[in-house]
Amino acid sequence: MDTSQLLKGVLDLAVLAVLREEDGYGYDVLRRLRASGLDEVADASVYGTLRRLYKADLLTSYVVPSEEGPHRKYYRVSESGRVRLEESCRTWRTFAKTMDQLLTGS
Amino acid sequence: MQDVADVREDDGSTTDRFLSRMRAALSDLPPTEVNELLEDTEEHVRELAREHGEDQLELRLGSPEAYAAELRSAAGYPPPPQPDEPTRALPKDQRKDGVEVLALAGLIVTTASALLFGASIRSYHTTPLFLLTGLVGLAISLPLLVRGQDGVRAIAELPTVKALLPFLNPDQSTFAGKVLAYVYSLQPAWWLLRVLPVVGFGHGGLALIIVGVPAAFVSVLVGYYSRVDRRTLWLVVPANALVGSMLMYFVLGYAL
Repeated sequence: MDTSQLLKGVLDLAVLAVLREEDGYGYDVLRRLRASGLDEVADASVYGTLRRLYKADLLTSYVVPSEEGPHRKYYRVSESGRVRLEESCRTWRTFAKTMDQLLTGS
Repeated sequence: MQDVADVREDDGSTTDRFLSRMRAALSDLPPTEVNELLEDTEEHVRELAREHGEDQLELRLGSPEAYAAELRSAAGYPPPPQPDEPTRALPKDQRKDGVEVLALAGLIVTTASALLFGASIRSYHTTPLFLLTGLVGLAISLPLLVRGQDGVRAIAELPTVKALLPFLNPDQSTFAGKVLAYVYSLQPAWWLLRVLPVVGFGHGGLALIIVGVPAAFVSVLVGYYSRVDRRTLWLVVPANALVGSMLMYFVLGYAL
């Protein structure tokens, strides 16, 4: 099965999840997603998702000067972002459970 | 800040070209939004170019346009407006011809039905038939007419209709063209004349004034309006045919 299609639906959730513990800049978020096993995630999708979540006020951002290059924009999960993450987590767990039952039950 | 300048100098034109092509692919979005969208991406692209070499950019990221398309769709923006609408219009002509031919056939059927309806108005057993065929003609024209005025314009593109168009807009440098143009200039007179069968039933006198004057007014209005909205032709032409055949009936004095 093409994982990239599945990813589209849960990328918001995945991005919020990797930012929950620690703030991060764009490339950082991408690296964390890939390190956690989502190695097929496309970088443009991640950057676009970050921008969309930011505009939806689920993320806030701040700029940190960097020693090795241009300053970096860090993202942090906002309060409404945390609420959304919890909701999405519940939805995901129910969905995954249903799919699991469907696949093993048949 | 020295570092920033160095980085930019190190990145040659390939990276810059990649980024400017991305920018161009997003150019329909508000400029501030484009800057925000590209802020993270630009760093990533430059980093990649530094790490793996500029010639690896398209291999790893795909074309700048595809990359920009993925970025904007993930950011929740609609796809860019397609400048290639006209190229899609080419196969459209072939696809939609069916509806147009149907509407043209419908116009002819309805008009012929109206003509025969008017001519046979005294023989009651055939009139329902022509009423029915007239309605069928109108019905098969509907798929085109509901498309609005563009639908009628598409009919003008049919080869058969295209061949007839010069007759509707005659070349007045020729004698035949002059005659045709003169006949067409009489159209408002026809708008008045076609009211006659309506008042004809009242056998003149007072009815001519009470019914005839408003009817003539409406008829002229309809005449002007049908020049504006060509869809009305599907009602006006059969109506004209009906009136025409009824006029013949009056003039020829119950000949039919």
